[in-house]
Amino acid sequence: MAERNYWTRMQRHQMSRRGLLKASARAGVGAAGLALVGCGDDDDDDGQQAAAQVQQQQDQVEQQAEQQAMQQQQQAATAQEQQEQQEAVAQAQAQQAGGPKYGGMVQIWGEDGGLFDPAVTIHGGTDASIFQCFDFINYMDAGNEITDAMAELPEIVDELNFIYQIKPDVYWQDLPPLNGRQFTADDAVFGYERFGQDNPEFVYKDRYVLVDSFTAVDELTMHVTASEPFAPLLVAMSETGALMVARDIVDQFGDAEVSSNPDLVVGTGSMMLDSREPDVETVLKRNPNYYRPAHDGGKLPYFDGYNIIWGLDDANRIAQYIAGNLDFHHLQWYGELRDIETIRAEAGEDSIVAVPNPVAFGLATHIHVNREPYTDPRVRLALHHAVNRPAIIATTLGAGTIGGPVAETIAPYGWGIDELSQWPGYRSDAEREEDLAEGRKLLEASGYDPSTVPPMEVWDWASDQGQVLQQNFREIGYEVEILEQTTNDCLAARQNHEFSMITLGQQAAADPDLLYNDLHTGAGQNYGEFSDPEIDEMLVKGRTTFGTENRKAIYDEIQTKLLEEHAPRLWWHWSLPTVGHRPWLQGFRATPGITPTNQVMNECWFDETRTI
Amino acid sequence: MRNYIFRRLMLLPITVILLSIFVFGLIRLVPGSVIDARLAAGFPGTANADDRAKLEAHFGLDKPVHEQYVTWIGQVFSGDFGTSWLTKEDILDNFRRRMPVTVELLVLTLLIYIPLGIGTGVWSAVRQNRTDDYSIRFVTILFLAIPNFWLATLVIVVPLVLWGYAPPVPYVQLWEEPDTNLVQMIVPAAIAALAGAAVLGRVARSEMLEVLRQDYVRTAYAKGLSGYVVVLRHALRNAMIPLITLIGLVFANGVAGAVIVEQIFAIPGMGRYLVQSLLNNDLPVVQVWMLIFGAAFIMVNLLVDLSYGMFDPRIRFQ
Repeated sequence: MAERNYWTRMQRHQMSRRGLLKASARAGVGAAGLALVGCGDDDDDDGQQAAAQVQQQQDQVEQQAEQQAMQQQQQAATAQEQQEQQEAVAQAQAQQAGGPKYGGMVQIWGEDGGLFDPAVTIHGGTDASIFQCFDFINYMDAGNEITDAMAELPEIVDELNFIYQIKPDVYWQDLPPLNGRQFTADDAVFGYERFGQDNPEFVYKDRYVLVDSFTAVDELTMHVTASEPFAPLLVAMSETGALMVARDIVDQFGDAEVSSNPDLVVGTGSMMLDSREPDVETVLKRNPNYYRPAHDGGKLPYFDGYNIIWGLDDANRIAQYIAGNLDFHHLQWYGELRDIETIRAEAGEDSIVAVPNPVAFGLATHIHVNREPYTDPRVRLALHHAVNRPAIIATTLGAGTIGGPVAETIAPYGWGIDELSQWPGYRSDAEREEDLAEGRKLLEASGYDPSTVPPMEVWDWASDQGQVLQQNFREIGYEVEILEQTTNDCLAARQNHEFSMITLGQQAAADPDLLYNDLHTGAGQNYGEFSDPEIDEMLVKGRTTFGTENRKAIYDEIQTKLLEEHAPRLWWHWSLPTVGHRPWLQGFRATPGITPTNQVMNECWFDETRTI
Repeated sequence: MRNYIFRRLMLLPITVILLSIFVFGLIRLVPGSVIDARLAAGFPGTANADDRAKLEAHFGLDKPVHEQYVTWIGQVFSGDFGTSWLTKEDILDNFRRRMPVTVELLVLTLLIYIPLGIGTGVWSAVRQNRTDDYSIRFVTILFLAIPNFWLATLVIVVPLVLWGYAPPVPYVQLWEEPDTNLVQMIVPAAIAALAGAAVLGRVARSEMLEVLRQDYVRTAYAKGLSGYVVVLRHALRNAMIPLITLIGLVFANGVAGAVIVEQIFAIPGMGRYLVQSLLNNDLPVVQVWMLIFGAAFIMVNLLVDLSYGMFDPRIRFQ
């Protein structure tokens, strides 16, 4: 098992690459130095100068090699290693005699959100159990690939019309008031339309704002008509929040009851809510009428159910995992792998399998472009040039990747380290010195008044990062005070646009259209009130253009303009959260989404080594 | 005495009203709000003035503060504690479910706190300036210095490292599996009790030393009474008044301790409920929580005052 281990392999790659690059650098520069010295005249001073020059050059190249090795290491931590991990999992599955096995209760922990309505849930409020009890029209699978689920992949009639064919063997769970009736196109229509209903507590009203109509053509056919071409529509239809509540339940009990009453959690998912003791434990049991077939012609899921233990403190959570009471550990945010390292140190390398989860979650510094001194793009660009992204990640986060406007996980639109490391503000060593010089020049040209610089608000979870940013800004002569804030305060300040500069978390969607929401004039998440007609036009073009290549060209151009001309935000980090699970849990794969949902967990099973 | 109790009880509603005003006002000074959190959570972001106004109206936050207060306090006194803004659950139901858990924790805490605190204090005084006195004083200062959240974490980590043992989860009710429940509760209760017991022990020691030097104690010894009788019946009884006051305060300390240990040991009690509600700006829960515990604290202090007469018959309530 240790051979297949993700992190040990990464460690090996890191060491060998770094060693190889350093050796190559030394050899190359050494040879160049010898040639230089050999070709010189006999003057001792010149010889010493040449030797000093060679030494300096050698140091520089060694630093570059080191940097390159670090970059490669980060790369390895993303795409390549992820692929290797998937392959290792697949190989392990293939090696299983007889394939997946049925049975076993998954021991997992979570935070008891206590809300059961997917239209109402807010951060941390969602009850994790609903992700297993409900299902999706289509899945957003690994690599942002949309796959069939309750419906086949849609027939794309034209840019405005999509037809979903519901599978005939999809049934609501056999619980009142639905009692196992068939899931129909009417249900799908109601489920999607409900998100947009005029209820003050429904927070996702704009999710389908560009959909003109959801129509049930017949019992199993849903016709979706967009009001204007909207390329990310299919992604929105299958994103992890698009869970549908039945009309029967809403009509009979009302929206408020749907939110708070766990007895009304009746979906089409693979698990049914068996019992729930708030803040203690939730038990889910297998839905015998789940529609997806298993490998042997039976029905998924393989597990009998879940015991979800609510609310374990950090130490207790790790202790429970090490003591063998949990199958899953947790999603690790911000690339922090301390818990996993602790578990490995105490329970052995093979005690946990770490799988990077391709839901990009990161940190960025929002700038309010209508507040001094940030009204001047030169000030923003100067700060953009000053941020030492690799240093922040290395010193405060330990893992993750430097980030651009579109996260790398939103393939193929997001820029990876190869592309970004060419850009001012993302570069290292000598090139960083150039960036800093350019930053100073821009700052000077702006003529801003240093005495009026407002404080930079920093989310208290990102306190370390804020301090490094402050130091970075200082390098170009920009002094800014830090004002640390709690999560709620930061959210409030951002939401009300009451900030000048604020460092906070950001989550990427599965489509580059997130930039529309972030930066289009007046868009919901354009907290810094950025506005540029040219960018607006391109953002509209991005969401109304179909075809990956065409869209990539548009988003490349948008990102270029943002980084070269506007810097409305300081994008600097995207993290790949990590899911940790027991080696005996087979078949797990990471998909975009914070919580592992049906499509992943249903295909997992326990091998015979399980000891819980 | 009856008059005294009556007067004190009559003062209770006034104190509770003042407390409720204080709590209601104070909680509104906390920055951030559930409205902001909800608006910020929307994706792709729908916030506008209209949405905010609707949410504020939904939660009753659009009315003047005094009107909000009158509505709230009226509901509370009629037994309607409202619903959580976060989970929509009935607050009273939650209290009913969680209160026994915290009460059990507090009772266990007291059962450890009182004998441990008074026992070590008395023993330390009787054995003044001997090795066991020095040892007890060292240990009490140690437990005073150690924060209970750190001790709680240590109690989880050390058995794990040494024996691979983790506290049993999930929580089970006392009446369902008493033995498992006690295993789950005894360690958190001990942790919540230790710091308080250390204080009680030190106060008990100094009070006992004071009393043991009194003439009547010497007389008791001279009469030939055993040391056991002299210490427990004559000396301790006279040292109890300040100790009773201190024991009364353990209620507040115990609740504060419960907030921490319930969080660390995943015990679904009132302390944990408060933490979750505070983190989510769930004002209705926080308000009622503080009001109820404030009222309970007042009652406990009344009982403490009344108990003085038991230990010192000279005390008369007027």
